[in-house]
Amino acid sequence: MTDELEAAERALAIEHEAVYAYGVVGGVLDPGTAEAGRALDGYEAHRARRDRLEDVIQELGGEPVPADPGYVLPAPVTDASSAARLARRVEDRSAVAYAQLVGSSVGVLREVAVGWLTDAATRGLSWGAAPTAFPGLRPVTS
Amino acid sequence: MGPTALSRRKLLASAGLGVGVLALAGCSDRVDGAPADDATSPAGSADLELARRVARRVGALLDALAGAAKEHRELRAILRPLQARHREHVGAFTPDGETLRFPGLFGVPRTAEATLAALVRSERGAAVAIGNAALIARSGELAGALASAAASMAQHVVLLEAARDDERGGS
Repeated sequence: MTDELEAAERALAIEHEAVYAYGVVGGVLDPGTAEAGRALDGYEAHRARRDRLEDVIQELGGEPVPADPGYVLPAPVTDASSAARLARRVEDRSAVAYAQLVGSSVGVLREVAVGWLTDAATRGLSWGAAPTAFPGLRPVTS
Repeated sequence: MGPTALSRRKLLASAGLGVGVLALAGCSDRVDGAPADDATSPAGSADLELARRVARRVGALLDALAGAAKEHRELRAILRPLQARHREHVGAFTPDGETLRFPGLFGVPRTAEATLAALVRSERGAAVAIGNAALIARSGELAGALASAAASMAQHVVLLEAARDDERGGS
């Protein structure tokens, strides 16, 4: 399997989680609020990316993995605060996946991944994430 | 498959770049599977020059932020964290052992609001330019680091626009 395909498959797995998570986030927010609008926007963005990644994986000769029926959340989501925390986590994991995809791809897919990484970084900010010098990258600890 | 921080410094260390302190989990050094280039190969040399250009561009931005903070004390609390992140960018992309000179970006405008607007334009321009640099990097790791730095500058645009709007509302 190529690095490009592997990174795309990893990103698709993250997107399946993201779509599920944004459904949970939107479910606890009051309809009509700015947060609910942001959750819907995030849900639609991640769903569109999931669909695009499924196409990409097929074009690369892979078999897109389907979504799991459900995902274990890191913590209960019961209010706006816990919903924002989950959304921040989703965007952070997305940023990691897209930084990997940028580094593993070329051409159009890399260009798309650069845009998705920027989107994850700014969307995370909108949920209260702290800005960082290198979104999606981790310091080497060893 | 969860992300793990793997050190993939081979190419960048051999090219003399500081980006190797960051990890791009699960990413190969080269996207085509070829052996890593060193700084003396055409590809390694091209990446080195690309990183140098990016470091100069961000350095100019850092100077602009310093000038703005000096001129408008009330903006210091907003600008300091941006300066710190840009220092990280410059450190990551400056080839080891080199000291770069940065071109001036703009004279500091008289009002805080105009200064913030100028910084928004500069950060946005840098984000686009560095995102484009990520597209032509030969090394996958350098591409990821450039795209990540560009994403950081997009965050700066959001933060500076919010500050500018606050300034506009308060003035």
